[in-house]
This record gives sequence, structure tokens and C-alpha cells, in this order.
Amino acid sequence: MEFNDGQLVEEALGGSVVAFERLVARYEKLVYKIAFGCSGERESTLDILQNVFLKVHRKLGNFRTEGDFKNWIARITVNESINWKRSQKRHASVELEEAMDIASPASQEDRIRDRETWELLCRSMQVLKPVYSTAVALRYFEGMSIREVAGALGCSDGNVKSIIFRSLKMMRLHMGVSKEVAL
Amino acid sequence: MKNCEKFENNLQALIAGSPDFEQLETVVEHCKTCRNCRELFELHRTLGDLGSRFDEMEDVNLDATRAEIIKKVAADGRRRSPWERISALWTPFTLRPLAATAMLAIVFLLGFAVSRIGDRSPAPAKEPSTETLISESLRDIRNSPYIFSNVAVKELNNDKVTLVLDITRRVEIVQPPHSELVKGILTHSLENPYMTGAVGHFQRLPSREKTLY
Repeated sequence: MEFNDGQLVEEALGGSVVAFERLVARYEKLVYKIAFGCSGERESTLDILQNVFLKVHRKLGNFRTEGDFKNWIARITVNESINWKRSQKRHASVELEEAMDIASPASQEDRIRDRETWELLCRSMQVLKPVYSTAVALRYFEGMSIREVAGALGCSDGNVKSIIFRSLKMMRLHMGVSKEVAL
Repeated sequence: MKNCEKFENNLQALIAGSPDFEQLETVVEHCKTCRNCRELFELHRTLGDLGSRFDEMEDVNLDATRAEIIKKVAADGRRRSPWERISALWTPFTLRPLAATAMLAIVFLLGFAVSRIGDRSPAPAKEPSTETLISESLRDIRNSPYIFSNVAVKELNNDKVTLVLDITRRVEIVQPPHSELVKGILTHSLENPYMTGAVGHFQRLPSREKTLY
């Protein structure tokens, strides 16, 4: 039997760990994509993801069952990603650079090219503000419509289009500066 | 430049996923001549292409992370008492309205108290109770010509009470200190303090303007 989000939330509020696990399984990819759009590397993304779901569990009582759980969890993820980004600024590290040096698994030529392009894209997303990278992640990684992205970010459709367009411009600029454009 | 602005509008339609044929054609035509816009368009396409293959690109396996989250959540749940769980259940529905109601009640009570203090008029003179009257009557025992003891009071109605008491006339006797009379009276007084003690006197009571006895 398929439970909707509201039912699972109520069950989880009643103490059902199984219900909460279903919620996690349902939205972990969404959270991962948003967090990845912001952090650009796996380990930090997993940290953010774990923090998000622990926070979701603590704040589950604040969620209105008639609301959109997907948007709610997306907003929590955005906030958590912003916090992560701030903490990274405080503790500047070279982890990202090191992560980028990891060799791609060599298989077919196009897969290698895709991998390089992907890493370049992820790297260029790091120059964006968290809200911008979130909008890009939701639109391109999660395949959300502009309206859905607007719902998750709590802004208008026009704003989202503008944000994504500006994000593309900034990313292109970053990729051009790095002289590694492989598009 | 003008074409680039037009391209930007069309690219935003592409980003929204709702370009019409004409817009798409305009974008493609413009990209043939403008490198910057072409790179922007290519970036949009690449993001769309690779982004849709996110799972393949990132090989996301979250089983271990999920298990860890659930482990922590379960541990957190065990630490919570049943009452805390019930509280958590009702918190979103009751806490804010309750807090607002409490605040309103406090404001109302404060306002009420302030208005009462401001409007307070002198309280009407309270009629002394029977006990007060008797206490007052006990004040100056030494100068009273009478003493009374063994008093019982019974209130009949708002206007009258019944008093039952023993009355003794106070007398003044001049005697040598070691006379038999002085010795006998003092000895009797010491042995029977309640029987002989001066416990009151008659006096005129101004508040009621009548004599209590």
C-alpha cells in the first residue's frame, strides 16, 4: 500500500521509524541533488543530507500535513546547504580541488568526456550562491518545472527563470576563465 | 547586441521548458553567429543532458547513509518519553494559540488591575465585628470600674448579639502589703488566673453608639 506524505508524517510523528524511513527513501535523492549542487562533492553532500533528515525528524511537528512535503524538505535542504556554504567560507579548504584531481574511471572516450564535463559543471556551480545552485540543481538535476522550483524556493516563476539564467551566465564565465571548457 | 537581448528572452523560455518553434529557431540562428550566446546555450543543453543522468554521473547509493540516519532517529525516539511524543504531536496545533491566549490574558488582567487601581474610591467604613469590639473593650482594664470574665457571644442577627458573661465590680482597697486580705486575694488570683483575671471592661462604643452589654 502506498502512503502519501501526510500519512507518513503522521505515522512518523506517532513514533514510527518505518514511516520516517519511507520518507527518507522517497526524498533522499532530491536532497542529495540540491546539496550536491551546492557542495559539489560527495562527502559534504552526505553530511548535508544526514543533517537535513535529522532536522526534518526534529521539526516534523512543524510540518502542516496539508502542505507540500517536497517543497518543505527542499527548503530545509536549501537552508542547510547555505549553512554549509557559510561554514566552508569560514574554514576555507582545498578539499574541492583535491576531489577534482581524482582520476575518472577510464572506459569509453565519451564517458570520460562526459565525466570531465560533469566535474567542470559541478565545479563551476560552486561559484554560485546557494539559492542559485539550488535552482539549477532542482531544474536540471531533479527535472522540476519552473513553477515547482519557485514553490521550493518560495519565489515567483519569473524570479526563478532570471536566477537560472544568471546562474548559467556566471557558470559560463567561470568555465571560460578556467580555460577548461570542454563543451 | 539587440539580438543577444532577444536571445536571452528566448533562452529563458527554453529554460522554462516552453519555447515555441519560432523562439527555438531564433536561438539556433543567433548561436551560429554569437560565440557567447552559443556557449550559454550549450551550457543549458549540457546541464539538461548530464543533469538528467545524475544518478549515472554520481552513482548515488544512499543505503548506508539512510541506515545511519534511521539509527540516529531510532535512538532519538527511544530517548523520548511517551509524554514528549504526545507533546510533539500536539505542539504545532496548540503551542502558538496557547501562547497567544496566555499573552492576551496577561494583558487583560494587567489592564483590569490598572483600571481598578485608578478607579479605587475610599472603602466604606466597615462596621466593627463583635470580636473587635470586645478587643477594644479590653484595652484599658486598669481604669475600668468593672471587670468581666467567662464571656460567650452569640450573634442573633445583623443588629444584635447575645453576650453571656460574669461581671465583677472593681474596687480599690488600701491595705498594708502583708495583710491577710492582700495575701488571700493575691494567692487566690495566682491559683485561679482565669477565674479572677481582669479580662475586660465596659465602655461606650462610638462606632455603634451603644453600650455593649
